Amino acid sequence: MARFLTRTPLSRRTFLRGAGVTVALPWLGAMLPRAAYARGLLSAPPSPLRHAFCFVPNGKWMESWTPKTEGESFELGPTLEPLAAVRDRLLVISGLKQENAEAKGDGPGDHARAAACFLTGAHPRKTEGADLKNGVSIDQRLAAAVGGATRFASLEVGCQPPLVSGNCDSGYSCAYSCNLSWKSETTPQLKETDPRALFERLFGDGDDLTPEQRARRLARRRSVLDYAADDARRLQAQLGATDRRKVDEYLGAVRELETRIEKAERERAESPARDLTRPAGIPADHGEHIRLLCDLLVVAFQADLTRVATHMFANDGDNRSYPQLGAPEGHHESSHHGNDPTKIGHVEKIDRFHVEQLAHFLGKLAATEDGDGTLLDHSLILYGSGISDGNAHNHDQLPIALAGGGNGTVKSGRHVRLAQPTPLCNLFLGLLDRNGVRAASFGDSTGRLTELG
Amino acid sequence: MVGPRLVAELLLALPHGAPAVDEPDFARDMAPLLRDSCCDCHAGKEPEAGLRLDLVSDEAGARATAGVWRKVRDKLRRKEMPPPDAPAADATLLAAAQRWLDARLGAGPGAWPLDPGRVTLRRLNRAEYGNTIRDLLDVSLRPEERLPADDVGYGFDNIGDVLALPPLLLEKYAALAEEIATAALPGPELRASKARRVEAEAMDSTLPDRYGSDLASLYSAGAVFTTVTLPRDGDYVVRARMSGDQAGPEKCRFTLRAGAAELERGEVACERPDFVEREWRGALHGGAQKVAVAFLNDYYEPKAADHGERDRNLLVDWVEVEGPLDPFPPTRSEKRLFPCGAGHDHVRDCAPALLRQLASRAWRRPASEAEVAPLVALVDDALAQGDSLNEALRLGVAAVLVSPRFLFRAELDPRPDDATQLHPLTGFELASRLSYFLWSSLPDDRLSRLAAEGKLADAAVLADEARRLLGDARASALVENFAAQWLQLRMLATAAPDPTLFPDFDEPLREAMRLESELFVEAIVREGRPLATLLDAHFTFLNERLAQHYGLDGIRGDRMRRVPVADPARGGLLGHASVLTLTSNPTRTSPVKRGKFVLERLLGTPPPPPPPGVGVLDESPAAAQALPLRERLAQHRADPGCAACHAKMDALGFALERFGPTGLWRDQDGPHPIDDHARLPDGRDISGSSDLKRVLLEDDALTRCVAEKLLIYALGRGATDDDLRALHVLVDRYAGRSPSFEELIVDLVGLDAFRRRRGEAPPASSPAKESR
Repeated sequence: MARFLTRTPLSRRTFLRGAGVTVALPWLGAMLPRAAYARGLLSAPPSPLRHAFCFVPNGKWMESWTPKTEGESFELGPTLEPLAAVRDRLLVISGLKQENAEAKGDGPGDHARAAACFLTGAHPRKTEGADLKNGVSIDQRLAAAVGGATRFASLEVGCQPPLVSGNCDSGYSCAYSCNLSWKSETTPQLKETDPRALFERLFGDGDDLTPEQRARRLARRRSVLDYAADDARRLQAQLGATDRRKVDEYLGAVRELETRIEKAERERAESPARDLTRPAGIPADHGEHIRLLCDLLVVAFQADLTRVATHMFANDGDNRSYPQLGAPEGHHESSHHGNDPTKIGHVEKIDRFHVEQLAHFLGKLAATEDGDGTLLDHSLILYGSGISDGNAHNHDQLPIALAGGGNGTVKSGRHVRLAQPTPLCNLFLGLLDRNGVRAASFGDSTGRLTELG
Repeated sequence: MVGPRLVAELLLALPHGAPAVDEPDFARDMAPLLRDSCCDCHAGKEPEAGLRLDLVSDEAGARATAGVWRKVRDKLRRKEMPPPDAPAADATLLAAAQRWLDARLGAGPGAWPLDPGRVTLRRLNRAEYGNTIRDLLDVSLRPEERLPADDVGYGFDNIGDVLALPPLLLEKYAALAEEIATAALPGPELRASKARRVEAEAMDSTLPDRYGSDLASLYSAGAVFTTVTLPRDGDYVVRARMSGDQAGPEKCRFTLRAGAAELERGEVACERPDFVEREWRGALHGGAQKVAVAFLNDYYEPKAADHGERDRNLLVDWVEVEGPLDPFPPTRSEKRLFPCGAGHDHVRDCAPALLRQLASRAWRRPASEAEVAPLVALVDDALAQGDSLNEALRLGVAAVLVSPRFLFRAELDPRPDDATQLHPLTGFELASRLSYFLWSSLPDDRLSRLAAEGKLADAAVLADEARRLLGDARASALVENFAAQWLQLRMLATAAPDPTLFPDFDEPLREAMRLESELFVEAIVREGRPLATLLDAHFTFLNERLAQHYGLDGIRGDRMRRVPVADPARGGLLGHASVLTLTSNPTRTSPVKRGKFVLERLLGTPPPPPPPGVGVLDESPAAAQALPLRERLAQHRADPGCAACHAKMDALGFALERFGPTGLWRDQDGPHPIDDHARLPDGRDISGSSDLKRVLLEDDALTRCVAEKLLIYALGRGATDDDLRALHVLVDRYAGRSPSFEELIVDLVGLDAFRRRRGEAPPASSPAKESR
């Protein structure tokens, strides 16, 4: 088995001098023999395709978001303008919808449904607690298909933990508005909000262990998990149906950890990032928080630790205020602008701020070499909101941009306006296609989005 | 006081039937009133309020729709139905109907039996995990800080159905278990010395540029420094490897420092490529230590004829701290864990007893031989591979902490798939319900012993234990976890008053606001004051910062202290800056949010969410100048789609308008004078917060609300119809008096819902959805 991260072409001392105070990323490409090459030594394999799904809450001011013209000559409007540097890597698609985020007789709760439906295409069951039910999300479907190749089948990150008290939205459990990623119909994937904790998951806790010590540690953890699985099965035999499902969830988690340990045992004898400057914790500045999590996703893609990620810039319905942007009312309050120009102005500023963070992410991906190109060439980064206009709470005409070359499978540098309102899930089917998964349908898809490339 | 025993006896008496009295009969007692007064509106395809009362004709049908009758009873009691514009109900029919409702929904003979329901097994939430580890192992780690926030259901983060366990969380539990086990049982390899070397390139310098490659060059008076983390107080060696560029009459002089203390001062006489190592031995404190090397005698003579004599520099290659070198006494956890006596030379034979004792405490019930055997096997395997005893035992400790029996609180049913199988909880299950309710932690030794002796089945013993736990310091968890969520105090962390309008709002103030309300509630709990004190009190807790905010003099320092409150408007939660801030928007007050807070949090009657497509308030500064807020909000009540709820919500909020968005007293809002008059839906006019408090306390709505929230929190599930029925009976017994938290809690733990449970219908036949 290839031990692809054991030799560092540059000495440790050389690196240290260049390290900045925050995570210093650009060095990693030079320092580590690339995973893609190391995986198959017989022929240079194509670079793996990476997917990230970036979500922003409360919709957009669509007039400033949507490019005025279509096709390759489209011009970025005021909201998308920060993406100028990666414009030719951008595919803006107008006319996509998530119909299952509509009320369909369930009354209010558009924010909860917008987040819950965004990547699942499912209509979440209205409940405050018991009997959560949604659908499997596209990132998890992709993770099930390609996640076996990497240590982490998927990564879920975001800036906001679940809300800490109260109902999140009109009788919907907070699990809906706070999670994009659903492993099963009933289990949302927890997201990591602390950059330091994410760092430690990716690169270990930084102890200077010898390969032997590291192997021993993994073996010990495995023996504890083996015990835990046995114990859970014994317990399960004594339980009723609902409790059994909870223990099932536990067993599923044990299995996933065991798989991860097996991969770690095969892959690496030494932590590649023992000299990386670990983040101190959660930055006070919201933008820095978003960017730091993006940076860590870039490293995770680069080292091929995962190929699928979700990043919730904020939970849906988020009402944080952005005084530094001159938008002192909360985001949610402002999004209910009632066509008041002042409030719309605030929304525009917030929208643009979020796109600036995306620009940082895409810029990092574009600046990172990967195989025969850059990470951005080999990625498809979906960015958008589950609500179109925050005032109208509509779930059609969603603001959606797809960035990246998708290994040459996506014709980017365009604005496409779809003739008919089209399920976002049609686009998701296109993502599955690009990973060799021939699915007949996903969520509420009605066909494949042919406009991608 | 009505003791829990009385309630329990009454409830337990139900299934045995009663003396043959007049058996309540739906067709005879209830149906006539429905036909006469209700079914004009509440019938047919589109019944008023979605409530259809013409479908039930007999006892069996009524039993199956018990929740409906609870609501009907409430409406009749409060005389809200029939509505004022309809003919009054016939007094005889009404009396018969009320007799039937009271009999069926009450606690006496003829009442429908109460279903205790069931509680989905609960994962420990973040606070519970941290407290449990602390009380179990006496380690000083705070593991909860490394766990993510838990999802919330029914307003609380301890709801079994909602507490998921995704892989990321289990990964954290697994890593924490190893760390906790290591902290509890530090092995010889950790006691042994370790060298921490920091290369110069990784050190910080007080000089702007180091001129170095692999070395730090101190070319002027300055220092290089780094921070190392030492495991504990102990004896250490601190070393530095240095060289110099020598020039002038002296050799390079240095000093080695740890924190503010100088460890060593001396001379470096050599010159590159030679290096010298200098060391110091002595005692250092554990934790983060800043270690520095400073250059003391810079020399620079650019005109010196000999180029080698122009510049004196100190060069540092690395700094190293080695240790601790002294022997280490056993930890508190070791003393607690080792049944054979603490020390360093435990024998393998001790392992089974240790693991059994630990597992029994951690799992909150006796662990069997069969359950301990695999743990012992883990330890033996590790020993066979050459681990030290503590290292091997740690594996067993970690396994106990990763086990689902630790992470979940499971309650076992003798026949888990039989929904008709009602049974009392075991003593251990009951002990855990009680301790996690009041302490957010595991039962202590006394409670476990009573459980083992089967004494908790005695309602009086259970009640005594509830009182004892409430009196313990650990009961502050009830304030931190129950009250802070019930009153949404946790939301204060994200409140964001506009900094341009409220430049004084800062973190110390935010913290003092939260503490004021927490300490206030805690005092009410601990001093056995009536719940009504929550709204109407003559004391509060302040420090200088918060007193200043309220415009009060004479309080100095950061410490929160109890002070009397003379101003009747300020006394009680509705005068607390915390509540007033978290129910405001960043730039203005929100009478709507404040009204909603009162309805939802204090009266237990949350308004339904707004209908889709409603308009929004014009928030522009121009609009705010033009019209007072209450007149702008008047649109709410003009629109009939909004009026039903907003008439109530806005009125409650208007009464609090004298408190600004950060809780400051005010007479003006911008150019507009404050008007805190309000008309309640029943037509009464009130003025200001004192009137509001009087109205809120004139019936037992607050008691009912607190009782319901406490029960949800205690059980970790939403309240079922039968739960609400049981609470109704319970609160009726206070006969309008405001009970103390202790009284209410003692009565709650006496309820069947707290002490009993049943099996669950197998999934094939989907269980009837419990509606509220």
